[in-house]
Amino acid sequence: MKYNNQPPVWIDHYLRWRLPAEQFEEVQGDMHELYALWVKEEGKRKANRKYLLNALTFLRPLPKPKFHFHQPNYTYSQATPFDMIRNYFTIAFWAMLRHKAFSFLNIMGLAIGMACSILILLWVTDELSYDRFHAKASQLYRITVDAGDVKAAVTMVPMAAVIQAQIPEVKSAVRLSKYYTHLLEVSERKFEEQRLLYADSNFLSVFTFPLVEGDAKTALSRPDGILLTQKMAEKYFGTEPALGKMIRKDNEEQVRVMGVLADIPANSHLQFDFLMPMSYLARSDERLKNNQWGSFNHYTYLELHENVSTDAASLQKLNTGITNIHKANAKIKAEYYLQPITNIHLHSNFLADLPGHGNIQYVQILTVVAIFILLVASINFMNLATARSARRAKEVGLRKVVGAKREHLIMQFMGESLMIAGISLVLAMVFVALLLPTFNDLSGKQLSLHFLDWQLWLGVGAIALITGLVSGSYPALFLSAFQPVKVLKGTLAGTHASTFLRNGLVVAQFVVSIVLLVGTAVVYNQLQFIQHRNMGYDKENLLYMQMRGNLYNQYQALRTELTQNPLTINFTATQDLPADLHTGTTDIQWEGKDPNLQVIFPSMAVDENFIEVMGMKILAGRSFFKDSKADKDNFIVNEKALQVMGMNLATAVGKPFSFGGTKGTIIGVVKDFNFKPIQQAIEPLVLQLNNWGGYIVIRTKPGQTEATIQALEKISSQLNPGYPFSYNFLDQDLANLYQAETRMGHLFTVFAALAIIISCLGLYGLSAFVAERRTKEISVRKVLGASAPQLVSLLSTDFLKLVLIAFVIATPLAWVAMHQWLEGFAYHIDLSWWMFALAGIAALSIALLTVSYQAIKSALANPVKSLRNE
Amino acid sequence: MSRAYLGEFEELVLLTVAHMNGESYGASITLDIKERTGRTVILSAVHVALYRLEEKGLVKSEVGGATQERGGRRKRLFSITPYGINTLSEIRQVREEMWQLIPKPLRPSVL
Repeated sequence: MKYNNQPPVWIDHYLRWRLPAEQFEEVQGDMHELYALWVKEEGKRKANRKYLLNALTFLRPLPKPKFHFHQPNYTYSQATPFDMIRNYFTIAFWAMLRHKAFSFLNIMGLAIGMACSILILLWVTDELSYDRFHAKASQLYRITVDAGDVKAAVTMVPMAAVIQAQIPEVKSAVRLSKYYTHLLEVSERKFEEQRLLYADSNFLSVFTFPLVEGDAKTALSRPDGILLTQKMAEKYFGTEPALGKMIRKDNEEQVRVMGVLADIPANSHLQFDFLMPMSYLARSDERLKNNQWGSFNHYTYLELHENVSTDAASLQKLNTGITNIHKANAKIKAEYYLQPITNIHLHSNFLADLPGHGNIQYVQILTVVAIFILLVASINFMNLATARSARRAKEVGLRKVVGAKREHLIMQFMGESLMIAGISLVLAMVFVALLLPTFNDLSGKQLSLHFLDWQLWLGVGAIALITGLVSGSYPALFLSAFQPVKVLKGTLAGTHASTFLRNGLVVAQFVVSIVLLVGTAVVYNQLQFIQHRNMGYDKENLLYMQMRGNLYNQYQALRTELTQNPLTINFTATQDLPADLHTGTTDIQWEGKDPNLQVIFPSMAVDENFIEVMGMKILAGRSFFKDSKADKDNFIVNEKALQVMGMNLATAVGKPFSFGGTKGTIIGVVKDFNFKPIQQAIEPLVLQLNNWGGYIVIRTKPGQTEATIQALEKISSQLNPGYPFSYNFLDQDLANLYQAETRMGHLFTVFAALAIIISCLGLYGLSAFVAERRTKEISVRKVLGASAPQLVSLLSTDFLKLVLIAFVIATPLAWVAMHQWLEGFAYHIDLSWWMFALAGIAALSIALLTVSYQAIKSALANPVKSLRNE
Repeated sequence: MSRAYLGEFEELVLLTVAHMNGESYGASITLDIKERTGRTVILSAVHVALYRLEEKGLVKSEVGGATQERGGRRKRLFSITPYGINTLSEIRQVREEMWQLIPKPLRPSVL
């Protein structure tokens, strides 16, 4: 109802809050009536002031009207449940305030635990969110190939077109190249760009990479077009519109900007700065030009029609269809499998894949860690609550006498723990907000808290709810079971069962902590092992430069220059670096080969200096000769290759060997060395004499690295003035291969430390509780002559026993878990006893420090004080 | 104790209820007392007094009579109970008796 001269609404709100519901209507009516009069007599302003004044005086409690006079049905026995709940809140609040230290430990422990879980939740959601932003994510698949012992993410050139023509379920097929490095130049500013991909023209219609400028339909249609991301557009053109501008490529031709892409989301497995049409690459690439079957070098993605079912059977049918296409056209034995695009990030372990994939194992490990840390924090709560149960026992007894049912009490204590969980959650969110930048550094992510995201709140709310319920469950059941007569008579003692449970929970906490500590020790040791392992060559002091532009034409001049300078004389030219080798061929023949056997031999094309400069060892035969025309058809193989071919060292040299169509002879055997990340075992390897470019690798003399770089730069800028000079170190590249493992190590350390801290918070609380309960006993002992060390050991040994038990339980668990993790590496450390001992001693000494603080405090206390107040 | 003791303000409110004869509720009583005594009356004080009187059984109340300027909210209409009337007259009687005891020169002339 609307009427003039409405009094201020907020005052009415206040009245509604202040007054009992049954009195509100009449009072408000009276107030409004008077207000109308005041407005008429004295004007709006004065009326408002009077209204406020009158309203404020209702702060005084009103006597309850006797409603049974006129409303006989309304009696107090029907008081709303709200009254009871309000009482629960009051009591919970008081209980919290009365034991500030305990409440602090409780809330701190829970908050730290929750903060950990929230961080992990953010991390895990991010890992799981990869590639889901594509509008057609559920219809997108990548083709992977399984050729004998090698699984790869690449396919042959003509595959995409044939699939699109022959398999009706496929709407479109897109090919994508590997990363290319090009020199790009706009108005004299040059940058070497390493993240350029070539894609078929339907790329933008299949994937959801929106264009900020340009037309998606035609963006990749002309061969000399280029697309770049917003970030790159800014780098090259600043604030000017990039569309239609020209970019000079590799000091030669101009390409035209056909569109600007919105920056690629961090949770895309495809990461690139530039995109060029496949038709451009086809101008120079023989295989593309002639549409050749034979080698695997493109990523192929398929978009299925919307109505195509994607259950296992239908996918299997598609797999078979693609495999059949392969059989009809190519010689190599291979099977094809479709991989959903949303699986690529976490479920890829393929040869020649794009770099930067995650690992589902780590997602699982961290999820488990999150759950455990939350559990450890909940256990704290349970433990402290049961330990202090005696203090709440009288309240429980009284409530029961007055008529509370057990369900009510369970509800009360559950509610209480939910309330504490809620407070902890708020604190946890503050921690998360503060720690997120550090966490991002550790995990190499760009996570952020989106406070308006309902999913975040759903997840976080679920964490709080679960924590509250789990941690409240035991105290609720335990406290509500008290018998009122016993507790009110005051005969309640710490029951045996509750002590047992409490100890069990402490053991559980320390089991988790010790397992995490062992994990940390093992992960770090494995990382150390990787870094210091003998790779089969000397990886220190290896500087390399990629050959570009003119260096190819001036190859001989380059070699001459390098040879003339004593700093750079120790060099080798090689097609590939022995870090993360991707190539391989099945076209291999040797004497007595089983015709049905299909093996893949990776190969490296190297020059005659390679073996010497890298510090590898020839076991039989010889290395390549310099300038030897005859060596063009000669091969060096590694030990593993000998083993696969069934040859032995003594007789292998001189045997005929055919590789990739070249018939030649084995002239030497090199000792096995790692040319892939050491998750993989060493495979057979063929070395050929290099007759084209790749990399120049220089072994620098110790202490002369700087001078060598300068010398190399001088040579490079002389022979190849159009390109900026750039160089890398091989050992740094190798270290980067294990970035995921290194990050895992960091995360493990942090979470292990937090688990220990939370456990100790609980232990501290418990020891304080025990010390307090035994104050009198300690005083009496002291009076009778016990020394402080005796008392400290009396109070500490019980807890330390628990940690020891935890250690015994944790050891086999940690052993199994870490053994499994290490199995993922072809070369790994062995688990040894000292890792476990270290974790055990660490846990024990931290626990000892925690407990002894309280123990020493009570052992040193003046016994008179506690005995006097009897 | 056979009779309820009333505070001065309560008595004033009770008297108002008595003379307004069924048309007495919070706002009207506030206005009436203000008009007759000239003092500022706070609404909450009136309500406190009314509920206390009801508790003591001196007045009774019923709900009704919504009007436009109240935004359609109902009033609680109070009326005096026989017990209330008795109490009032007893008070008055006591006062009268005491007035009689005051020496003449001090009595204000009423005639």
